[in-house]
Amino acid sequence: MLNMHAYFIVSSLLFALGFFGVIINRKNLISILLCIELMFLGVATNFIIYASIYGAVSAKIMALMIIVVTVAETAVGLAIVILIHKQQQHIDVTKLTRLKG
Amino acid sequence: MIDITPIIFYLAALIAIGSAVMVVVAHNTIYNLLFLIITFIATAVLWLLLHADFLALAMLFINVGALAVLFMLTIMLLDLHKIKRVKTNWLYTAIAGGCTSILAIMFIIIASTQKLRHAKHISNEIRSIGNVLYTHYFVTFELVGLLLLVAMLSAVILIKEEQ
Repeated sequence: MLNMHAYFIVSSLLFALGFFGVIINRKNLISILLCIELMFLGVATNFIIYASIYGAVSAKIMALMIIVVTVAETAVGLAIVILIHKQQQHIDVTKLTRLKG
Repeated sequence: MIDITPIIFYLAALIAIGSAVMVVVAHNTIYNLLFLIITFIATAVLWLLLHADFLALAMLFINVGALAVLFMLTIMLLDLHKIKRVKTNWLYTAIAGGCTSILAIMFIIIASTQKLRHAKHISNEIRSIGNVLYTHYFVTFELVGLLLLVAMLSAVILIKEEQ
Protein backbone atom coordinates (compact mmCIF):
# COMPACT_ATOMS: atom_id res chain seq x y z
CA MET A 1 0.00 0.00 0.00
CA LEU A 2 1.25 3.42 -0.93
CA ASN A 3 2.09 5.85 1.83
CA MET A 4 -0.40 8.73 1.89
CA HIS A 5 2.35 11.23 2.72
CA ALA A 6 3.63 11.01 -0.84
CA TYR A 7 0.39 12.59 -2.09
CA PHE A 8 0.87 15.47 0.32
CA ILE A 9 4.38 16.08 -0.97
CA VAL A 10 3.03 16.33 -4.53
CA SER A 11 0.25 18.78 -3.62
CA SER A 12 2.58 20.92 -1.50
CA LEU A 13 5.10 21.07 -4.32
CA LEU A 14 2.38 22.08 -6.80
CA PHE A 15 1.25 24.92 -4.54
CA ALA A 16 4.80 26.04 -3.78
CA LEU A 17 5.81 26.02 -7.45
CA GLY A 18 2.79 28.16 -8.33
CA PHE A 19 3.68 30.57 -5.53
CA PHE A 20 7.29 30.72 -6.72
CA GLY A 21 6.12 31.43 -10.25
CA VAL A 22 3.89 34.29 -9.10
CA ILE A 23 6.83 35.82 -7.21
CA ILE A 24 9.56 35.55 -9.84
CA ASN A 25 7.39 36.26 -12.90
CA ARG A 26 7.29 40.04 -13.10
CA LYS A 27 6.74 40.45 -16.81
CA ASN A 28 3.81 38.59 -18.31
CA LEU A 29 0.31 38.87 -16.83
CA ILE A 30 -0.93 35.65 -18.48
CA SER A 31 1.96 33.64 -17.00
CA ILE A 32 0.99 34.94 -13.55
CA LEU A 33 -2.59 33.73 -14.13
CA LEU A 34 -1.23 30.31 -15.16
CA CYS A 35 0.82 30.11 -11.95
CA ILE A 36 -2.31 30.97 -9.93
CA GLU A 37 -4.01 28.02 -11.66
CA LEU A 38 -1.17 25.84 -10.43
CA MET A 39 -1.74 27.04 -6.84
CA PHE A 40 -5.49 26.30 -7.11
CA LEU A 41 -4.66 22.81 -8.38
CA GLY A 42 -2.42 22.14 -5.38
CA VAL A 43 -5.10 23.26 -2.91
CA ALA A 44 -7.81 21.18 -4.61
CA THR A 45 -5.52 18.14 -4.57
CA ASN A 46 -5.00 18.67 -0.83
CA PHE A 47 -8.78 18.63 -0.30
CA ILE A 48 -9.10 15.43 -2.35
CA ILE A 49 -6.39 13.75 -0.27
CA TYR A 50 -8.22 14.55 2.94
CA ALA A 51 -11.49 13.35 1.40
CA SER A 52 -9.79 10.06 0.61
CA ILE A 53 -8.25 9.70 4.08
CA TYR A 54 -11.32 10.50 6.15
CA GLY A 55 -14.00 9.49 3.67
CA ALA A 56 -15.40 13.02 3.97
CA VAL A 57 -17.73 14.06 1.16
CA SER A 58 -17.58 17.73 2.29
CA ALA A 59 -13.94 17.94 1.24
CA LYS A 60 -14.86 16.75 -2.24
CA ILE A 61 -17.54 19.44 -2.43
CA MET A 62 -14.94 22.03 -1.42
CA ALA A 63 -12.71 20.78 -4.25
CA LEU A 64 -15.65 21.13 -6.65
CA MET A 65 -16.20 24.72 -5.44
CA ILE A 66 -12.50 25.44 -5.95
CA ILE A 67 -12.76 24.28 -9.56
CA VAL A 68 -15.77 26.55 -10.16
CA VAL A 69 -14.13 29.56 -8.51
CA THR A 70 -11.00 28.94 -10.61
CA VAL A 71 -13.06 29.19 -13.78
CA ALA A 72 -14.79 32.41 -12.66
CA GLU A 73 -11.47 33.97 -11.65
CA THR A 74 -9.89 33.07 -14.98
CA ALA A 75 -12.79 34.51 -16.99
CA VAL A 76 -12.60 37.86 -15.22
CA GLY A 77 -8.79 37.87 -15.19
CA LEU A 78 -8.50 37.24 -18.91
CA ALA A 79 -11.12 39.95 -19.59
CA ILE A 80 -8.96 42.39 -17.61
CA VAL A 81 -5.86 41.25 -19.51
CA ILE A 82 -7.57 41.93 -22.84
CA LEU A 83 -8.75 45.32 -21.56
CA ILE A 84 -5.22 46.30 -20.49
CA HIS A 85 -3.83 45.18 -23.83
CA LYS A 86 -6.47 47.20 -25.67
CA GLN A 87 -5.66 50.36 -23.74
CA GLN A 88 -1.87 50.14 -23.46
CA GLN A 89 -0.76 47.66 -26.18
CA HIS A 90 1.21 45.56 -23.67
CA ILE A 91 0.60 43.31 -20.66
CA ASP A 92 3.85 44.05 -18.91
CA VAL A 93 3.22 44.14 -15.17
CA THR A 94 6.22 46.36 -14.47
CA LYS A 95 4.93 49.07 -16.82
CA LEU A 96 1.39 49.24 -15.38
CA THR A 97 2.10 52.30 -13.26
CA ARG A 98 -0.74 54.67 -14.13
CA LEU A 99 -2.02 54.64 -10.56
CA LYS A 100 1.47 55.59 -9.30
CA GLY A 101 1.32 52.88 -6.65
CA MET B 1 -0.23 -10.31 -8.48
CA ILE B 2 1.86 -7.15 -8.34
CA ASP B 3 0.31 -3.94 -7.02
CA ILE B 4 0.96 -1.39 -9.77
CA THR B 5 -0.54 1.56 -7.87
CA PRO B 6 2.87 2.88 -6.65
CA ILE B 7 4.27 2.74 -10.18
CA ILE B 8 1.34 4.74 -11.55
CA PHE B 9 1.57 7.16 -8.66
CA TYR B 10 5.30 7.85 -9.03
CA LEU B 11 4.98 8.24 -12.79
CA ALA B 12 2.04 10.67 -12.52
CA ALA B 13 3.67 12.61 -9.67
CA LEU B 14 6.93 12.92 -11.60
CA ILE B 15 5.12 14.17 -14.70
CA ALA B 16 3.00 16.61 -12.67
CA ILE B 17 5.95 18.12 -10.80
CA GLY B 18 8.16 18.21 -13.88
CA SER B 19 5.57 20.01 -15.98
CA ALA B 20 4.81 22.37 -13.09
CA VAL B 21 8.49 23.33 -13.04
CA MET B 22 8.32 23.92 -16.77
CA VAL B 23 5.20 26.10 -16.33
CA VAL B 24 7.27 28.34 -14.08
CA VAL B 25 10.52 28.44 -16.04
CA ALA B 26 9.52 28.22 -19.73
CA HIS B 27 9.91 31.48 -21.64
CA ASN B 28 7.11 31.24 -24.18
CA THR B 29 3.58 31.75 -22.84
CA ILE B 30 2.09 29.10 -25.12
CA TYR B 31 4.61 26.54 -23.78
CA ASN B 32 3.62 27.52 -20.23
CA LEU B 33 0.00 26.79 -21.12
CA LEU B 34 0.77 23.44 -22.78
CA PHE B 35 2.82 22.30 -19.78
CA LEU B 36 -0.05 23.39 -17.50
CA ILE B 37 -2.36 21.09 -19.48
CA ILE B 38 0.06 18.19 -18.91
CA THR B 39 0.05 19.02 -15.19
CA PHE B 40 -3.77 18.95 -15.17
CA ILE B 41 -3.85 15.52 -16.81
CA ALA B 42 -1.22 14.05 -14.46
CA THR B 43 -3.06 15.47 -11.45
CA ALA B 44 -6.30 13.93 -12.71
CA VAL B 45 -4.52 10.56 -12.63
CA LEU B 46 -3.55 11.24 -8.99
CA TRP B 47 -7.18 12.09 -8.17
CA LEU B 48 -8.27 8.81 -9.77
CA LEU B 49 -5.82 6.98 -7.51
CA LEU B 50 -7.49 8.72 -4.56
CA HIS B 51 -10.92 7.31 -5.62
CA ALA B 52 -12.23 10.74 -6.71
CA ASP B 53 -13.39 9.48 -10.11
CA PHE B 54 -16.15 12.01 -10.77
CA LEU B 55 -14.07 14.99 -9.66
CA ALA B 56 -11.09 13.91 -11.76
CA LEU B 57 -13.27 13.73 -14.86
CA ALA B 58 -15.01 17.03 -14.05
CA MET B 59 -11.62 18.69 -13.52
CA LEU B 60 -10.41 17.39 -16.88
CA PHE B 61 -13.54 18.57 -18.68
CA ILE B 62 -13.56 22.02 -17.10
CA ASN B 63 -9.85 22.81 -16.87
CA VAL B 64 -8.51 21.20 -20.02
CA GLY B 65 -11.67 21.51 -22.08
CA ALA B 66 -12.77 25.03 -21.24
CA LEU B 67 -10.10 26.88 -19.29
CA ALA B 68 -7.11 25.97 -21.47
CA VAL B 69 -9.04 26.87 -24.61
CA LEU B 70 -9.92 30.23 -23.08
CA PHE B 71 -6.24 30.88 -22.31
CA MET B 72 -5.25 29.73 -25.78
CA LEU B 73 -7.74 32.10 -27.45
CA THR B 74 -6.52 35.02 -25.34
CA ILE B 75 -2.89 34.32 -26.15
CA MET B 76 -3.78 34.16 -29.84
CA LEU B 77 -5.77 37.41 -29.65
CA LEU B 78 -2.96 39.39 -28.05
CA ASP B 79 0.31 40.22 -29.71
CA LEU B 80 2.80 38.87 -27.21
CA HIS B 81 5.91 38.99 -29.37
CA LYS B 82 6.78 42.40 -28.04
CA ILE B 83 7.34 41.01 -24.56
CA LYS B 84 11.03 40.44 -24.08
CA ARG B 85 12.46 38.42 -21.29
CA VAL B 86 13.36 40.49 -18.25
CA LYS B 87 16.91 40.19 -17.01
CA THR B 88 16.78 37.82 -14.06
CA ASN B 89 17.68 39.35 -10.73
CA TRP B 90 19.34 36.37 -9.06
CA LEU B 91 19.17 37.87 -5.56
CA TYR B 92 15.36 38.20 -5.71
CA THR B 93 15.09 34.77 -7.30
CA ALA B 94 17.17 33.24 -4.51
CA ILE B 95 15.09 34.96 -1.81
CA ALA B 96 11.83 33.86 -3.47
CA GLY B 97 13.15 30.32 -3.86
CA GLY B 98 14.19 30.20 -0.21
CA CYS B 99 10.80 31.43 1.02
CA THR B 100 8.98 28.98 -1.24
CA SER B 101 11.15 26.06 -0.13
CA ILE B 102 10.47 26.92 3.52
CA LEU B 103 6.74 27.02 2.72
CA ALA B 104 6.83 23.64 0.97
CA ILE B 105 8.91 22.01 3.72
CA MET B 106 6.49 23.39 6.32
CA PHE B 107 3.50 21.85 4.50
CA ILE B 108 5.28 18.52 4.17
CA ILE B 109 6.30 18.46 7.85
CA ILE B 110 2.75 19.30 8.97
CA ALA B 111 1.37 16.54 6.77
CA SER B 112 4.03 14.01 7.84
CA THR B 113 3.21 14.33 11.54
CA GLN B 114 -0.25 12.85 11.05
CA LYS B 115 -1.25 9.21 10.92
CA LEU B 116 -2.81 8.68 7.51
CA ARG B 117 -4.35 5.87 5.49
CA HIS B 118 -7.09 5.37 2.94
CA ALA B 119 -10.66 5.32 4.21
CA LYS B 120 -12.94 2.48 3.21
CA HIS B 121 -13.73 2.76 -0.46
CA ILE B 122 -16.84 4.84 -1.11
CA SER B 123 -18.91 2.76 -3.49
CA ASN B 124 -20.89 5.39 -5.39
CA GLU B 125 -19.13 8.72 -5.47
CA ILE B 126 -21.58 10.74 -7.57
CA ARG B 127 -24.51 9.63 -5.44
CA SER B 128 -22.76 10.53 -2.20
CA ILE B 129 -21.70 13.95 -3.52
CA GLY B 130 -25.19 14.70 -4.78
CA ASN B 131 -26.80 13.64 -1.52
CA VAL B 132 -24.73 16.14 0.43
CA LEU B 133 -24.53 18.90 -2.20
CA TYR B 134 -28.28 19.30 -2.66
CA THR B 135 -29.12 19.16 1.04
CA HIS B 136 -26.44 20.44 3.41
CA TYR B 137 -24.61 22.61 0.89
CA PHE B 138 -27.65 23.86 -1.02
CA VAL B 139 -26.95 27.56 -0.26
CA THR B 140 -23.31 27.16 -1.31
CA PHE B 141 -24.41 25.50 -4.52
CA GLU B 142 -26.76 28.38 -5.36
CA LEU B 143 -24.14 31.00 -4.45
CA VAL B 144 -21.60 29.36 -6.73
CA GLY B 145 -24.15 29.46 -9.54
CA LEU B 146 -24.64 33.15 -8.87
CA LEU B 147 -20.85 33.64 -8.86
CA LEU B 148 -20.58 32.06 -12.30
CA LEU B 149 -23.36 34.32 -13.61
CA VAL B 150 -21.65 37.43 -12.20
CA ALA B 151 -18.28 36.36 -13.63
CA MET B 152 -19.82 35.84 -17.07
CA LEU B 153 -21.62 39.20 -17.01
CA SER B 154 -18.55 41.08 -15.81
CA ALA B 155 -16.37 39.51 -18.50
CA VAL B 156 -18.87 40.53 -21.17
CA ILE B 157 -19.25 44.07 -19.81
CA LEU B 158 -15.48 44.57 -19.47
CA ILE B 159 -14.77 43.54 -23.06
CA LYS B 160 -17.77 45.31 -24.65
CA GLU B 161 -16.88 48.17 -27.00
CA GLU B 162 -17.80 51.65 -25.84
CA GLN B 163 -20.74 53.00 -27.79
